[in-house]
Amino acid sequence: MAATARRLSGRSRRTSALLLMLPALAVVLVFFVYPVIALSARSFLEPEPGVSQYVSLFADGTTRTILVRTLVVAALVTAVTLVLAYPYAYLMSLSGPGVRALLLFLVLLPFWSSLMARTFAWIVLLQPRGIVATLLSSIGLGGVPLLGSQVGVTIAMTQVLLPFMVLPLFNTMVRIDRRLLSAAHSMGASKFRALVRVFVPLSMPGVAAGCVIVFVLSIGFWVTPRLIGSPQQSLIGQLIETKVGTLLDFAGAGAISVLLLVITAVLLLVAGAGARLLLGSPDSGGRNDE
Amino acid sequence: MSTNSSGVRLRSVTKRFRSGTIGIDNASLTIEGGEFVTFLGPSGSGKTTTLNTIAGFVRPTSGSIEIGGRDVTKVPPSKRNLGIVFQNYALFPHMSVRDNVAFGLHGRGLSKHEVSKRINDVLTMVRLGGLEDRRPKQLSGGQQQRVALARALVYQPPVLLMDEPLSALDKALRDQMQVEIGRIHREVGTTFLFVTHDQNEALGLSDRIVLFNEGRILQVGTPSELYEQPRSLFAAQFLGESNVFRGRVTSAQTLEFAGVPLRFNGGAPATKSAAIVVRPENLLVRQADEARPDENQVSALITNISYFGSFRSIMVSYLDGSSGQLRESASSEARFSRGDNVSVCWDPGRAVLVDDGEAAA
Ligand SMILES: Nc1ncnc2c1ncn2[C@@H]1O[C@H](COP(=O)(O)OP(=O)(O)OP(=O)(O)O)[C@@H](O)[C@H]1O
Ligand SMILES: [Mg+2]
Repeated sequence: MAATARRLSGRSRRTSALLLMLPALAVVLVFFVYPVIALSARSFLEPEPGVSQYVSLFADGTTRTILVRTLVVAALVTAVTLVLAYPYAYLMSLSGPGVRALLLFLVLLPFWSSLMARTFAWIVLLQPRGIVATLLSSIGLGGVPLLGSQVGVTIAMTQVLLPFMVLPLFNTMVRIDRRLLSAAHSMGASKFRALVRVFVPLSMPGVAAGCVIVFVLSIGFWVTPRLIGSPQQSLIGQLIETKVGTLLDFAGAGAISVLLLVITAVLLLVAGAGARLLLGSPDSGGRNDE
Repeated sequence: MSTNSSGVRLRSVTKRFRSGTIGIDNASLTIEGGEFVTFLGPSGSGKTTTLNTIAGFVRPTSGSIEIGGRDVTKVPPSKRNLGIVFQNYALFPHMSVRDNVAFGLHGRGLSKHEVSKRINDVLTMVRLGGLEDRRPKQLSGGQQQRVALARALVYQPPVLLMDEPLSALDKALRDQMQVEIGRIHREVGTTFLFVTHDQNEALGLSDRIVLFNEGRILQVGTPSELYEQPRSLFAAQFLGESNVFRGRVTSAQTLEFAGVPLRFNGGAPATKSAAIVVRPENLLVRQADEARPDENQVSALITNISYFGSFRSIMVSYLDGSSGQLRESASSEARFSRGDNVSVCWDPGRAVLVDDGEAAA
């Protein structure tokens, strides 16, 4: 009796949860799932059913170059944000509530202005005689073209995407039990060894999450490379835009989109599997109670 | 496994936190190599702070700490070569049992063969053989406790510190681990410092007990010294049951309790107001008219009698309204019942006189 009642109440709770999720679900279905399905369907159906779109995608040298360039830029941006964000998040996780709030405010500052405004600000900063160029030449790196180059695009994208790396890292780091570090020290480990053998491995879920988010967002970046980079150095987002906006080649754009989706999905799977391997899944192996 | 052990010495160690709270106040203590010493005291009395100054996690505001004759006051934890068992075990969740235990062997110039031998030996000692490849999450609480012990002992530290290592375990497991820890101490011969607020753990395990209250070391002694000769009302009441007769000292040999003169042995205390403390097993109940001249006697009312198999516990209420208890062997016949007015008697040699804590405060 009691079990039946519990099952019933469980089911009704699930029903009401479903009802609450319905509006959001509807939005996702209409504005995301439907276009994705429609676009990918077209990529397989036009001009005739088959994979001809994909064959030409890989046959076309320009597309291939742009795809590789996009992945390289995304990887570079991910690496640079990780290097910048890791110590920042570490500092944030160590500091008291006041300093932590300030650091959080600073990292979220970019969200207070629009992406467009920020990108135009970067155009100003990246001028041949702008602040960044002056700074670079003062450390002996003068003469690097910034505006209309991959370097400028990478710098601007890094700034925009930094919060997406800092936040997951911070979130993981504050949960790491500091007593583990004390334990490591008590066993004779230096600060460096405790960091490398204990702290860094335990921060890996945050690293994986941050990298996936930043990488995926970088692949889809469009405004920044369009405004700061040059047409000769265009990235995949610009290619999709050209195909849809100028060439009206929806099937071709769909094929590229499907490819990006597949790359993203593979990345998510790899990152998830990596994190599980490192930390051990909670229910693997039998628990042996005494 | 090792016969390596060091003494520990605190000289006037004081820790004042930034908030102004005093963690420990002018604590001095000498611990011999190989001793099993427990830090006992109520919550917030400074046990953990003292242990952490020895471990190096807390830098004392003043005073000095020596381990094995070396002044380590300014030495960081990683260079003190101590074994530490943390209250929550602090096992590395991303490492197997073997890697957890191997962690402390790094950089000690041991060969691969020696490392694996040490790990096997220590895991055998804590009875964890066969679980080397498990992650901490896949172990029960008692098994995690054993890993924590193995991990802290594998590099044969001369001193092992444990902060309430058994508090996360249930009663049955706690009793079992208590026996195990005693056995391991005898096997390794290392100095053990063990923090607890459980008096049974302290009485059962230690060579000596250090009693803490409000950041101060109140008394240091063997379990029987602390039990039989408490030096303060706090010590008497914290460790075991006691009957307390508060009163005024009227001569070098007598204290007046609720108008009744009671004799005590030993010198008169510095303060006028003091208390005589008697343990339940040293009290006798007699008929009100059955007094003997060589005994102290106080009239009391029996409020309850409980039967515990081998003995009866008799709860009484004294003239001043305070309550107390005494024990009577269950093999003697039951002569009294609840509500009886009786005489509670004791031999003055089986009681101690202590300063009245409240008057001093
Ligand atoms: N980091 C700290 N900052 C400020 N005060 C502290 C700190 N650590 C401890 N204290 C204070 O110092 C006193 C002693 O604390 P300690 O942790 O040593 O007690 P304890 O005897 O270990 O208690 P418990 O049995 O509850 O663990 C307490 O009043 C406590 O509030
Ligand atoms: Mg404590």
